[in-house]
Amino acid sequence: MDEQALIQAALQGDMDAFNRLVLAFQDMVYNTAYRVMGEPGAAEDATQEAFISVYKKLHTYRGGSFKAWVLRIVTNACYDELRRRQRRPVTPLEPELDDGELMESAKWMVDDAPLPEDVLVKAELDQAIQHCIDALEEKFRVVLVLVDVAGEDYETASFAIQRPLGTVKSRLARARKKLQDCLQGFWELLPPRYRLSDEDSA
Amino acid sequence: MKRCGISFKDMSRLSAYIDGYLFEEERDKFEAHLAGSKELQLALIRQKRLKAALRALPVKPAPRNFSLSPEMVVQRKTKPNLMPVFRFASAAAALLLVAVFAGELLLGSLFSAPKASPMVSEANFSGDAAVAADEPMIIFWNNPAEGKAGGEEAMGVSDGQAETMIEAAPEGVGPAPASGERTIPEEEELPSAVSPEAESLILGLRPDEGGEVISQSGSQDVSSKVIDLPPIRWIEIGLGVLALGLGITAIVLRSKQRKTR
Repeated sequence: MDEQALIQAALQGDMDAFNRLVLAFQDMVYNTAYRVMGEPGAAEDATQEAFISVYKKLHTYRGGSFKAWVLRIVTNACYDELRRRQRRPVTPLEPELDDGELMESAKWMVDDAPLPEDVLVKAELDQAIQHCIDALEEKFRVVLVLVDVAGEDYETASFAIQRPLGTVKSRLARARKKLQDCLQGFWELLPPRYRLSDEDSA
Repeated sequence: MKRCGISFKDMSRLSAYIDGYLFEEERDKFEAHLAGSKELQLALIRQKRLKAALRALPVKPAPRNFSLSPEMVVQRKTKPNLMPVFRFASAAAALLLVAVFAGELLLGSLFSAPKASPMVSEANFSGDAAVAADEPMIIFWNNPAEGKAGGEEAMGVSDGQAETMIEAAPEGVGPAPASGERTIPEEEELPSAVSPEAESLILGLRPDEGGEVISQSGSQDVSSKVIDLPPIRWIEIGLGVLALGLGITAIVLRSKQRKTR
């Protein structure tokens, strides 16, 4: 059964058809939510809320890319979840020092598992990138995740965030610049082949 | 944003260039600019590497099945959200109140006309000028409705009476000098200055009601003044109360909504 047929069946109240759509999209939706939220629990909540919204708003879907339409709902769910968490901040799990300050938690640099060097470096790089993505403003983060992480085109991102294409371009450029600055210090800690120095470009 | 010698415009073009979102003409221009700028070339390599690193981030699989059950999508009957209605109504009432105030200030002459009525009633209260001319002058002290000395009020309100009294007074009690300087008679001259007619002036008492306390400025008068507020005041008070009440209701509803979230 193809996507449009499943949508039509779901619109008729067929919950099984809708859940087949959920299964088809849940990895994409969760991954996007995870990259935007930066935390598995929050990403789960946003994903669940997004699918409930998709079900409730399915009658408003007017054709076109269903994936882009779902991404728009996921984006909104992420924004809602972020707002909710800002209102009720979650207590951090990082240990505190004696003076009450949070311990500097370079979590991407701490991994006790006995991994081969390449895998370890890659894991560290991933965590460093996620750390820098989390540091971006929401509006920049969402565009960066949609285009650079999820690999969507500008048009889909524009539809998802409900902003013109020019806004996507400008936000993406700023997000990339900020991410580049954030990661600058980290590149230097990586093995030479991962590093980008002036000599590399020469 | 202009760091490392690269303007934001160039960074923006660079970003679009990497993704193939520059028009042909724009792209050719940018490539020519790129060829002449080592800094921009370095930025291009960095951006490409960053983009590759982002695309290489592992896909996080869904940790569980997000399939929905019929119970999860049951439309919960929610109460209608009245908070925005109250908030809007409160703001509207407040704005209307401001508008009424502004209108009153601008068109003060129109609204101030009804204010003459209290003066008229005061004149009535102080006594009809004609009647007063026939009767001995009575100065009422301690008029609670006016908050002033009764004598001062009576003299101030009905100048006609004052003039009558002055004219009626015998020589020696004449009006103050025209020059405005008020001469105070010597202490020993005071008794002789009071004529028999002036003696009939009793402060706060009518001659035929000697010893009886006259209370013409009773509570009835005060209440009638409160009720006699001009309509514009009632409108302003009403709007003020409405704005306040609706605003408080909106705040209470909002706080309740926040708690339930």
